[in-house]
Amino acid sequence: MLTGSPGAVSIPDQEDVMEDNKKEHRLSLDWWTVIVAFSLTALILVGLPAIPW
Amino acid sequence: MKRFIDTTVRLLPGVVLVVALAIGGKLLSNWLQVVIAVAWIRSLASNVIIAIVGGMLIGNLVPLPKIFAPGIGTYEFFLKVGIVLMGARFLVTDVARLGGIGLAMVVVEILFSIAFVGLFARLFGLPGKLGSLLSVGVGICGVSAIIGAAPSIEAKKEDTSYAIAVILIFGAAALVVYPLIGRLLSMSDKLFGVWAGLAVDNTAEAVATGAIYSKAALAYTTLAKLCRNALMGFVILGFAIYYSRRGMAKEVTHKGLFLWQKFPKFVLGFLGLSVLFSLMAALFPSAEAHKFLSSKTGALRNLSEWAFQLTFIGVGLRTSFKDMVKAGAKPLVVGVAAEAAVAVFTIGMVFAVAGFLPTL
Repeated sequence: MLTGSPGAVSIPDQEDVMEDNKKEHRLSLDWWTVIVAFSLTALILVGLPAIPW
Repeated sequence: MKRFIDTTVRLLPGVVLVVALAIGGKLLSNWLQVVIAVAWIRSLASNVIIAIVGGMLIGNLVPLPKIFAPGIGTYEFFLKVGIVLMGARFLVTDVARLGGIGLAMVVVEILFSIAFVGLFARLFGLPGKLGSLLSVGVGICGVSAIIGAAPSIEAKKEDTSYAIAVILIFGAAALVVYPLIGRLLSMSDKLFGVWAGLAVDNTAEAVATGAIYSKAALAYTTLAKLCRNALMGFVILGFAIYYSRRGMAKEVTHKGLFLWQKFPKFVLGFLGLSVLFSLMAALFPSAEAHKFLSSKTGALRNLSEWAFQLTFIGVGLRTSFKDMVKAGAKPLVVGVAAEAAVAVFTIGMVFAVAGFLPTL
């Protein structure tokens, strides 16, 4: 669930929240996070140079 | 494919803005660290504080076009990516040790929050469901817990936005107040980190509070906060059952599925990376393998810190002083009482179990 907008306390629309819950079979943001993080890890493990911090 | 392109186009302006501000903030902080001679002023110019304060200034003073809004909202995604990547740094045995005592503390903290906030909401004559939403927000993990609970207990839209406003106001206050209290009491990184993870409501603000204190504190904050997030489903289920028994919400038909749906999956990602890297360290104990692995965890740490930097910009941009004033006095009063009680209770608990907390 993405919340937040500039200059506004983010107020999710209740209908949207319910609608989102119905569409639970769609891949959630949480799962995308895990997929992206693991892909990045795999990239780094096979030798992508470290990003300087 | 079309939806993918649409989404990308919608998110791009805001994401570019956040990335640009993050890089700019980091460069500014690097420069200030060299230029400023006085140590305590230099510590105020850390990249975390610059990112948050810079975001707040821009979000409140510059009228940003609406086109940036969706992209700025992605900071929650970056926050979760940063947390999952942090998993690589923790030995799974450490996660289990701190997680065990952390979960026990979280259960106590949640029970206290629910009882206290519920009592206080009744005292002030707040609607019952608003009280429950506030308890969930204060007890577990702020905004996402409220959004998760609202449809399950069929709360009103005004109550939901009210509860979210309270959480966000006190999240912003925590960024300043908690590190100050920590320094005044000269708390160690470990104690402060666990305290911030237990007491600051919203995950983004909790992580930021830990990061403002120190990098070491951030590790403890993240673990303690994840313990709270992991219990979100159980608390929401409890409230859903409570309201459905009173005929005020739909019945939960499949409890196991409900728990799974409300469980924050990125916690699994964090655990997965921790297990993966611990296993690799255990399976390949040679010095050479160790060197290889620590270079990789170093790279992941960089990546995770960049993800947090984007998050902190987003937190700053989102914090709106105008909306805080608009929210009015009532959430402020309820919020002050609830947050202060939880902060005092959890700091007492952290000092009480200090001897049992494992060092990471």
